[in-house]
Amino acid sequence: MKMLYIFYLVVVIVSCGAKEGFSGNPEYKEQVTAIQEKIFHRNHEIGFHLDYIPDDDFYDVFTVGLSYTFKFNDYLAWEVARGVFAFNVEKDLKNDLEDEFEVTPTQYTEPEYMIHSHVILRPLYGKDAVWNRGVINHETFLFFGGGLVNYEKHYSYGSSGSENALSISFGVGIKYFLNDYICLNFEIRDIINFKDERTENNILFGAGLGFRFNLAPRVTDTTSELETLDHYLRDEDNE
Amino acid sequence: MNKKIVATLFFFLIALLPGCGHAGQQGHNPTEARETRNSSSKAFTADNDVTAFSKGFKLFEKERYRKACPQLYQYLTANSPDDVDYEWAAFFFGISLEKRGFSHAAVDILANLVMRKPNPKIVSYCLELFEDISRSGPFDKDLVISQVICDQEYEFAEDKISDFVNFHQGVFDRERGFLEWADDHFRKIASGTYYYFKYLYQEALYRIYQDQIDHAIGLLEEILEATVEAERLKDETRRTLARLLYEKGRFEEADRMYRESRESIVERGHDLLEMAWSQYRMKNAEKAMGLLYAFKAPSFRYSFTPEYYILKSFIYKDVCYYQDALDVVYEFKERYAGSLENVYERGDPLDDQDLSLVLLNKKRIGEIWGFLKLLEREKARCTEIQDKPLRKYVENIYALQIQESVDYLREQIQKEYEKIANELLRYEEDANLMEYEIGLDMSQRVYENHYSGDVLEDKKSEDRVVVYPFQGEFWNDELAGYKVALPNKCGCMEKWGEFFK
Repeated sequence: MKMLYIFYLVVVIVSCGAKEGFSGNPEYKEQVTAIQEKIFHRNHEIGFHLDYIPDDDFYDVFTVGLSYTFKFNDYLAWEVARGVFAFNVEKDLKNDLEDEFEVTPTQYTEPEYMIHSHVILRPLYGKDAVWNRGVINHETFLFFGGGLVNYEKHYSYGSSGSENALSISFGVGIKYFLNDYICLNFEIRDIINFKDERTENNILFGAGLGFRFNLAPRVTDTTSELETLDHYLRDEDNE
Repeated sequence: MNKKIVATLFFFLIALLPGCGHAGQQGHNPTEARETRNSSSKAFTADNDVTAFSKGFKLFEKERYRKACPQLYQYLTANSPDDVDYEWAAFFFGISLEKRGFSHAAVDILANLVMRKPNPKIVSYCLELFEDISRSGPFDKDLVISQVICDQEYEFAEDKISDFVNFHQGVFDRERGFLEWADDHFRKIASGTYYYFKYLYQEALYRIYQDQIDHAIGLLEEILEATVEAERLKDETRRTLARLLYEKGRFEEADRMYRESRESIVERGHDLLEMAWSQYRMKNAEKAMGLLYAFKAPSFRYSFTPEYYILKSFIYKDVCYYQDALDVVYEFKERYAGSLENVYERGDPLDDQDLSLVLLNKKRIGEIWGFLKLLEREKARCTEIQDKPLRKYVENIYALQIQESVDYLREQIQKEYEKIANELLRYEEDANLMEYEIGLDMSQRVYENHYSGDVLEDKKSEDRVVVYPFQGEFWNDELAGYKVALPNKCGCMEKWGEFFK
């Protein structure tokens, strides 16, 4: 619940708190922006992710995954798919229960893999001076989506089974642009999994690398305006 | 007996025939009947139209402009201008369209209404709207200013509207050489108002034209001291004043004028180049170069001129970056090679994209371009109109205006191309001269250094904590603040070695 509040707070701050771009003189109605063209904008990103879920009851969950994201514009993107496989390290809880209290859980689950898709809002963009020796650009993003989590179900009284649970995922992240093509991503996510028995809430800390690229040259205003001008001056309909 | 009966029947039948005999005359007068029929049918139509008008008016009153438009349009198409409500209907229709965001269609309808000289109340309202539109964005200047404002008399207009009319009529007369008429109009403008200061600006331009620069500077300074809210006018005044101060060699004051402008730097591409010139003349090469860097930002693409290269090579030459200075000259030649070839071959101006962009920066062409963009934007919104006949009518207004404006744009581009082609040839000559001067300068400095025997120290650039390489990303708040590190290399001989190999 706390995560929901934080998420809501971030959205409110981002959408209401930002001052209008540079020079908002009301007499001039031109659209104003803070940055003319973000040089690090790319339409496609393939991401490699390493995540950690610390709050699973029985396992420390480490995941490795891949994702593909399409960026519609400077503000909106769609993480088409993110698939991760879990590598789990058993916590001491189960052994403690068995050794100290002589009880064993009748059933428990172990995450296997997850597939999610997210809508990404990218409202914040900035640059930092690193030790006043260089500049690094970054972007903060919010995301919200859904997907599927697969668990292996362990029973104390029989062989294991499998369970697929629907899942909602949302969070906030930051992306540092190392160069024109590579970026470093950090994120914190809340994953709500609707399992058969109960709904489980997990926090995920993630880090990853993104490879970003365009398949075609970026269309600039100049290009489109020149095309319009050319159309006006040459089109036979206008003669 | 039979004859009597036949005769009686005959007379009876004749009496029954319309228009014959007493009975016919008493029963139905055909003229009256026709009139009655006509009037009744007219009454039927008028009832319908009156309903359309009153419905439209009621919707207009409730500010439901989307629904008011089709009703008023229906009324206007079904009635002639002689109808008693026609003028008001046209007025409400125009205003409704304006409220819906079809500013040009509104101007078109209201301008035609005003030219028909309707009742003064309507004219006053329309003039008020024109005054507002003329201050807020692109509009059909030819229609509003030349045909409506300057081609009619509006003696009944009061206050701001009277000033608005007198100002434009004054400018119109002065441009055509009717100086006394112009002065008469200008005298009628109330002192201290927005249009008074607009008039002062026109007066200053006229003084510049007459080479009375000091007088013009005085007038421009008076405008800047005004308390009236007119930021755009004041910015225009600052720009003109800055140019005059620059020409008088008062570079610091000129630079201050440019910086005091309230308009976003993003909209002031040409100012940036002029600011760079001021800085250069004040010997602030680093600042001047910084401004030239900013000038490469995408938002200044239409302000871009070949002059950029000339100034840049000047700056490099002054701090003895000879290779860089030459590179800039070559860059100029490379960029405008196609344009120059087109000029030499007397090619079609429309084939030249580089110069087309420069042409869009010309005031008149820029205005038409802005107006065309507005027309396209508003035309695209026509799809929101549900009523088919109305949509067709509004689309037609836009199609015709776009056609007219495109013709005018084409004409202006042809006209301006000749001027810009001459300018380009002059810049090419300057670039060649610059190339020669760079060579000459290098030789002279080598000679001086060789025989003077003094070892020149590099002039250190102003101390700074750190210098970042420019990423090429233009943040609008930083544009006017860029500085490029340009330590003077004139004492550094090894840099030149390559030129003398």
